[in-house]
Order: sequence, then C-alpha cells, then structure tokens
Amino acid sequence: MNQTDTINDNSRQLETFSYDNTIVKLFAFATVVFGIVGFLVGLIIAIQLYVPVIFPSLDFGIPYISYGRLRPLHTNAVIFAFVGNAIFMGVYYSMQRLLKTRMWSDLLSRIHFWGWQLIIVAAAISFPMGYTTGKEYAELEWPIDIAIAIVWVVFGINMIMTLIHRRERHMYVAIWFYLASWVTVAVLHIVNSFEIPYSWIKSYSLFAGVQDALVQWWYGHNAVAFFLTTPFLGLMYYFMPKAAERPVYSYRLSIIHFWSLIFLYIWAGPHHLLYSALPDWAQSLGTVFSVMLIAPSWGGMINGLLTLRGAWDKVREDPILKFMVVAVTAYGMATFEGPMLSVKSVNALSHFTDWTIAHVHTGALGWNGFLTFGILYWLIPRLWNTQLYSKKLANWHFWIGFLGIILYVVPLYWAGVTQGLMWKQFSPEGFLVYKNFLETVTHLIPMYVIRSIGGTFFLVGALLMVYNLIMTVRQGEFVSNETVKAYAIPKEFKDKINHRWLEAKPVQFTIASFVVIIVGGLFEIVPMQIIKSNVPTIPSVKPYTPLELIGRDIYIREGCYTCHSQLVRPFRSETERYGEYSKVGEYVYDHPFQWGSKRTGPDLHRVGGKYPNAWHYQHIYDPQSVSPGSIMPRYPWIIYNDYEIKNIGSKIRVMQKMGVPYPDGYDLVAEQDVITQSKEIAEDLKNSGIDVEHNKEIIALTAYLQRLGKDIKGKNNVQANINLQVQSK
Amino acid sequence: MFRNIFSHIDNISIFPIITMILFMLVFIGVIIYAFKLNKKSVDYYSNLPLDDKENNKINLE
Repeated sequence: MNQTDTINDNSRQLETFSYDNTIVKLFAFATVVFGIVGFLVGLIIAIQLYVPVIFPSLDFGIPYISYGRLRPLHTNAVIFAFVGNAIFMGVYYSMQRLLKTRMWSDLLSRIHFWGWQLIIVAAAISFPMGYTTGKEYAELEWPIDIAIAIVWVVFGINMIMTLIHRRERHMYVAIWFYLASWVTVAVLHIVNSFEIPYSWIKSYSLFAGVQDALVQWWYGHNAVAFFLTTPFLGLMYYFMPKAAERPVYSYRLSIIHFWSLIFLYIWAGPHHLLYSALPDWAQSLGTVFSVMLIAPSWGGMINGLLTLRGAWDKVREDPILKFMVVAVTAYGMATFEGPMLSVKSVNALSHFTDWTIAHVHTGALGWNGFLTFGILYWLIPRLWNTQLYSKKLANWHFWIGFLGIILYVVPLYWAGVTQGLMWKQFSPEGFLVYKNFLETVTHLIPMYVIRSIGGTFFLVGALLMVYNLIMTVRQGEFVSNETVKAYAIPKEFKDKINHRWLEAKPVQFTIASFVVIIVGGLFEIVPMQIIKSNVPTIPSVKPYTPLELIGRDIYIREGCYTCHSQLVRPFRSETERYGEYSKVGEYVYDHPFQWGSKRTGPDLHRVGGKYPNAWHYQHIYDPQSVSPGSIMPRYPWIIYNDYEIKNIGSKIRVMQKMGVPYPDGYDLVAEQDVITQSKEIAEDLKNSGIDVEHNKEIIALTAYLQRLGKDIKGKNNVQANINLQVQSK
Repeated sequence: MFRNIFSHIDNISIFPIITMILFMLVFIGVIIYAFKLNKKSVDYYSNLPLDDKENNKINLE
C-alpha cells in the first residue's frame, strides 16, 4: 500500500551537489539567436512571394537567396534551431531539478550543444548552396544526417544516465514526454534518412514514389508531433506550474494524455496524402486516427489551462502567464483544426493552399513561439539571479506578437479558402472559371502583403525581447553552478523502485514508449513497403534518361517542390486543369518523390509536352516574359551554368542498386546518351531562334520537365527512351 | 519470412480494425491505471516541479 512519509534525517544521507546552469544558458542563447534568424528568413521569403511583381530584378540573379533554397532554411531554422534549442534549454533546466541531480556528464552536455550548433551552421551553408534531399523538413544531406544521429544519441545517453543517477524516485510526467520524444525522433530520423550517397554530399532516397511519400509524411507529421509538440508539452507541464505557482490541474489526466497522445500521433501521417495515389486503406487510417487525436490533445490543453485555476487574476498582470495562456490556446486551436483538415471533404478544399500554412503558423508562432518566449522571460531572470528588466516591455512584446499572429494567420486562411474555391469553380457551361492558374495567385497578393506585415510584427516583438533579456542579463549575475542539497534515494527504496515498472525505470519506460510508437510504424509502413499489390506497375512507365535525371536533380536543388506539386488529384476540377489524375505506378522510379505539399504555382505532373522547349527556356530565364504577373523567381543561372555530367555513372549505379532497371553496364555509357539527348533539345531550341550550348543546365531541366507525366500517355515516351532501349539490346 | 506473412493477408483493411482494438485496450488500461493511483501519490507527483530546492520528503510504498 502506498503511503507518504517524511523520513528521519539521520536515516539518509544529505548530499550537496550543483545544477549545471551554463548548459541552460548556452541553449537559451542559441534559442534567441536562431529564433531571430528563423523569423527573419521567414519574413524574407514571405516578401519574396510578391516582390517579383513589383521589382522583378530585386533578386539580383543570385542563386543563394532564391525562394526555393531559402524556404527549407526557414523551416529547418525554426523547427530544429529555434524550437530544438528551446527544447534542450527547457529539458536541461527542468530535468536536473525534477530529478534533483546534475546532468550525468557535463562533457556530453557540451558535445550535444556544440554538435547541434554545428549541424545548424552546416544547414545554413548547405541549403543556400542547393544541397537538399528534396524531402520536406528532412532536407539535410546524408553527412549531416549522420551527425544528427550521433548528437541525438549523445543527448539520449546523457538523459538516461541522469535518470539512473537521480535522487527523486518518481519520474515527473514532463520527463515522460522528453523520453518518448527522444526515442521517436530517433526512429523517425533514421528511417526517413535511408538514402544511398552518390557523392560526398549528395544522395538519393532509398524509397521511391508512393513508399517514399508514406515514409516522408510519417516522418513529416511526426516531426510536428514529436519535435514541435510532445517535448513542448513536457515543457508546459513543468514551466506552467512554475509560472502559476501551483501544481498541474490533474496529474491523472496527464498520464492519460501522455499514453493516448503518443499512441495516436504516430498513425496520423497519411492525412498529408489524402486523395493522393496512396492506397485508400492507408488514407482512411490517417483520417480516423487524426480525428481521434482531438481527445488527448484537448485533454492536454485543458489540463494546461486549468492549471491556472484560481490564478486568472495573475494573467492580467503577468506577461509570462499571458504568453503561456495564448500558447496553450493556440495548441488547442491547431489540434482542433488539424483533425478537421484530415477529414477528406475539408482536405479536398484546403490541401495545397495557404490554409495549411496558416494552420502550421498557428502552431509555430502561437504554441512554440509564445511558450518559448514565456519560458525565456521566466528563466533568464532566475539564471542571472535578478528580476526581469522591464515587465512593461514584455507586455508590449506580448501584444505586438499577438497582433502579429492574427495578421499572419487570418489573411492566409482567407487566401487558402479563396484559392481552394477558385481552383474548383466551374461556369454553368461546365468550364473552369479560372482556367489560368496565375489568376488564382495574383488574386491573393494583398493577403501575402498583410501576412508579411504580421510576420514583421512578430519579429519586432521578438527583438524587443532580445533587448529586454540583454538588459536583464546585464543587471544580474550569472549563477553557473547552483548549489543545492538533497537526500540520496536510500537503498531500500531503490529496491522498491523495481516494483513500479514504468515510471520508476527510465530504460524500461523508454522501451515501452518505443513499443507504443513502433506499432504504428509497423502496421502502416511495413505492409506498404512489401506488398506489391499496393503499387500496381504500369508497363509503359520507364526510368528517366540520364539527362532527365540530371534535370531532376536541378529541380530538387532549386526546391521547385516548395511551390509546385506533382500530384493531380482525382477531381474533375484538377483533371480539367492538368490532365489525367496521377497513378501510383507512375512514380516507381522517383527517388525521392516530389509530390510537394503546396501549390504556389500549378501542378507539374502533366507538364511534359504541354509547352514547347523554347517556352521553358524563356520561362526559367524570366517567368514574367511568358507569363505576365507571375510571382515565380527568375533562374538566370540555370541558363548560364553547365550541368554536371561527370558523376552520372555514379548516379546510375545508385539507381540500379535501388532496383531501377537500367541495363547492366549502362553507367559506363550513360554520358553518351546525355550528350545525344542534349543536342536534340539544343537543336530544337535553335530552330526556335534560341542559340544555346547543349551542356547548359536549362537543357537538362527542360528534358526533365518535358518528360513529366508523359509515360502513361503512351506515345511520347518512345522518343525519350529510345537510347535506353538501344543500350539494353 | 515477414514478406510471406504479410503478402498472405488478403484483406489489408483489417489493419485499421486491429489498430483500433489495440488502441482501445491501451486507452482503457491507462485510464484504469490512472484512477487506481492513490491520492497521496498523485499529490506528491504533481508537486514535484514546485519543490526543487530541498528533497525533504520521500514517497514510501
């Protein structure tokens, strides 16, 4: 039977030790710096969406600041640099105190910190240079993927060893969230990073087409779940009671919240692929689990908000609580909206539009941003043993930031619904009213302008915080090692711990969480990977020619997938606009898949043969010259740069390894095919009055774009594959 | 071996149903567990974030 007792002092040993505050300080510093960077890059790309209409040459033709390269930089900076560092800051602070022990190894803490920052720097360099895997939020290339895995393991070892050496018997619920997040992110990262390198920095995804899509969104969704949500719920369960100075509303509810949330979350990934070529059973699974997710999510939200029971008067005074209340409310809104967006009929309208962007920013700006700000305002004065420099300024930050969120999300909801409806609008005669995709884009530009004003507000608010925190730090004195005293867990209790299998033992607990989350992975992904009937093959679908492959790599490098989908959904409004809807079997050689998740530009899956080569040449050089009012950036470097041909053999070999049926020995002769096909395109361009050398990137990109979606049309692929067939004979 | 097991499942749509049952079991189990915890322990657990300076009491079982 359980009973609480106060132990006599002389029966246990009082130990003196200290908390490592320096590691918390380091992560706090990184959180603030990369927060500003992430917000700033976000603002830049938000402005890039409409500036080309006004000042077409403002990009100066510099590839490194092109939208498609900066967008992954923004998403990765916010998710892994800003939110990531905030998680580590909170984990290192709260874990030591909840377990009444110093982190197990200062060295591992430092390796974790510096390793993570090095990875961020590598991302900040490699993305603008165009090194990307082309899979959203997993864009980092293979050497960096390995570094992430190593640093992640270091973090895990340090956490688990700290848990083993703790002085507090019970593992508080926040720590459950940390452990489950750690183990799940490890699994997600490793599985989604299965890739085969073809050079020291570049690789192809091991999975192709629909399998790649399923793995990617199993990852992508759970990056939201287990990076942006569960660790932050852990932080909520620790820092909200701290700030409100009262315990969490219901500890029992937090237990139910935890287990049902991690069980359900892992399954919901396929809701990113509704109406796609993914088999129906997997789509339905995604929808059902997403709708069920409302329950634990709202349980958690209510638990957070009710923690303030009897303290609501404080919310009026205290900016920290204000930030936290809005954060938890934003969590509630986003987790209600998410399941709604997973309902097929809603998704039919919302998918590929700005609605999704509004949804994620409710989460990112509201939940992650505001909770982080609240924690920083609470934490920094305590680390420096002082008071916050200015409460008034923090209140200003709150209101400016809050207004920023409203100005950000409301116009984008408007834009999303508007564009979704415009895409689907038919005239009484049965024709698309907005046949020209561009019309549906230019209509939204005022919304994009307001959105960027919202982003500016949010950034300005954050800068106020930076000033406020710097002044706080200057007036205080940093306590690098906070000395405390606590009793060791007596031997007899250590034995008793064994009876409480789950909460008392970190290793078993981690394994249990692992089992819970892996069930979802096994049931969803394994059958998808091994059952052939899920991917009906289409005999006319052939591998890309080597030149098309080079073109495809340019497409990935420039991040074309950030604005263009390659997935025609089975709606009349889409087949009218783009052509035949996309089939699973068409993607079997797509390593990685390029379905995209947002249509700032039109779908490209059926673009092959739609325009002459000369059109693509003009369009890449200056989109507005053929499509007036277009907001697509210019890509002059693709016109001038030579494509890379010398590693084509190695690319072909990697493709062969993954089962793409190039004939044996084709890697040795692929170069000839590249040149032959290039010359054909250059010749065709010459006939249209464009004089271009055959070895330019534009030739390869054109070859790829002209191939897209043609295979099932059954006539044009003959020419594209003619050389392949010759080789195979 | 895995390949053989899975490729012999005719009706793949059974998967969501199995999953649902699994979840219900986990969910019911967790609810029972949560409500079986005694009040004193729960109070002690939920106060953990608030007393991080001194370890002056310990939970006995």
